[in-house]
Amino acid sequence: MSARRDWFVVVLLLLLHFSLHPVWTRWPVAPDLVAGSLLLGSFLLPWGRASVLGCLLGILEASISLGSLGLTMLLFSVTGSFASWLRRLVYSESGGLVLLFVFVGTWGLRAAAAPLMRAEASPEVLLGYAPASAALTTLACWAMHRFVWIGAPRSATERLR
Amino acid sequence: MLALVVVLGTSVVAVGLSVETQNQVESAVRATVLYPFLQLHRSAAEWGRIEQRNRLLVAEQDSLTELLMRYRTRAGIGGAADADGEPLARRTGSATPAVVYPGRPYIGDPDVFVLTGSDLSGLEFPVGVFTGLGLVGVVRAPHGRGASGEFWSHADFRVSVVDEGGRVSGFVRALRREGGQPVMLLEGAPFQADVPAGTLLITTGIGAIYPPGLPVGRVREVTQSEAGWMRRYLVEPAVRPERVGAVFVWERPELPSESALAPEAASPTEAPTGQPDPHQAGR
Repeated sequence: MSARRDWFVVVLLLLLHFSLHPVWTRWPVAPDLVAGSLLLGSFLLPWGRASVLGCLLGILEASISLGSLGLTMLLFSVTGSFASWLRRLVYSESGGLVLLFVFVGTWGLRAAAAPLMRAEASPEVLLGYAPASAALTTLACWAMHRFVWIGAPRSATERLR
Repeated sequence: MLALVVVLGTSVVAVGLSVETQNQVESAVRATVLYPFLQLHRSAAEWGRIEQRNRLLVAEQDSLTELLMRYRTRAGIGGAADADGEPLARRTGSATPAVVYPGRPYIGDPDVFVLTGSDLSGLEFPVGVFTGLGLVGVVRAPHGRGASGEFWSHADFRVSVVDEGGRVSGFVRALRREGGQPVMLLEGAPFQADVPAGTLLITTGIGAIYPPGLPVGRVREVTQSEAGWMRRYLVEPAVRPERVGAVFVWERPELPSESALAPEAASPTEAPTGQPDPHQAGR
């Protein structure tokens, strides 16, 4: 039941991301819910399957944004598998650590995506907008886990509550 | 491990694909998996446009209602009369609502329009067209059940104007700069009279084509002196033609009848009764 809840949160983040995408793109600082769902989903999967998840999300993200299809697939696949590997390497029951992973992962993903997608990669973007967006993403992920309730709270990410 | 290798290999192959092929894949994803989301975005955008249009229409309706009430009061539709007992409508005229269709009858010409209204059959052309914001243009001739006319941006358009204080008068015509939106040009202003920026110009009513006191535009800046004794000013129009929808067509006040003019001819020293004030009625 706990995994069901975690996956529900991942799907909900994705639905929110693709539904509100035009709203997000208006502001330089916005929650990157697809990155949040990729990271949370990767924490639940072994690194091989996490790369598949990243690949699929990369295709979806590239189709709705201006990014290159191949680069987005590659970046999301590497991010997913790396997040899964790192989660198992630094295993902890701490919910704060999961949030830290989400924050650092989102920041790193946005920072890596900027030069790869030929977007603006100024220090203002990399050190200002990207961490602010990562903080918003982390907050959104925490709120989802805090307020969405399905089944018994037993998963590792349940500590987020 | 196998999944990771396959995924990374697929991604590397995708990086090497041509832009056209990548676009085709993205289009296929948009047409299938992301289709509901894109429909949602389109609906939201359409809803936003409708909301904005609705707000503009409500604002326009409010301004038209305000103008109509002002004209009703001035024209004495409710029975108001001047000190001599003459209905004010005879002096100032009234207005008929109509709808403007820009770019017709000559398709693509932004300076002309066709308008339809409830009752345009009794109009005497040419006659002015305006909204609650100010002057729109002039109706030149009947056209089908409606009439055709020109916006103020038309090259043939001229209107006699005066500033609110009545100090400076001149006439306004359109000025279309290359590649830019048309603006108005005030010509014939006396050289010694300095018209500050922001001054509102209103119609004089001379010529009886436009009602007197109608906002035309606001002075933006002086352009150049003309022959040493006249000045030209750029004028920001009160109404942009592309934003016009519902308008009013001016109905001139009635001309004094022959019998009303007869006593004037018989005794020139006697003040005529029932003759419209030239300045008020624009005749």
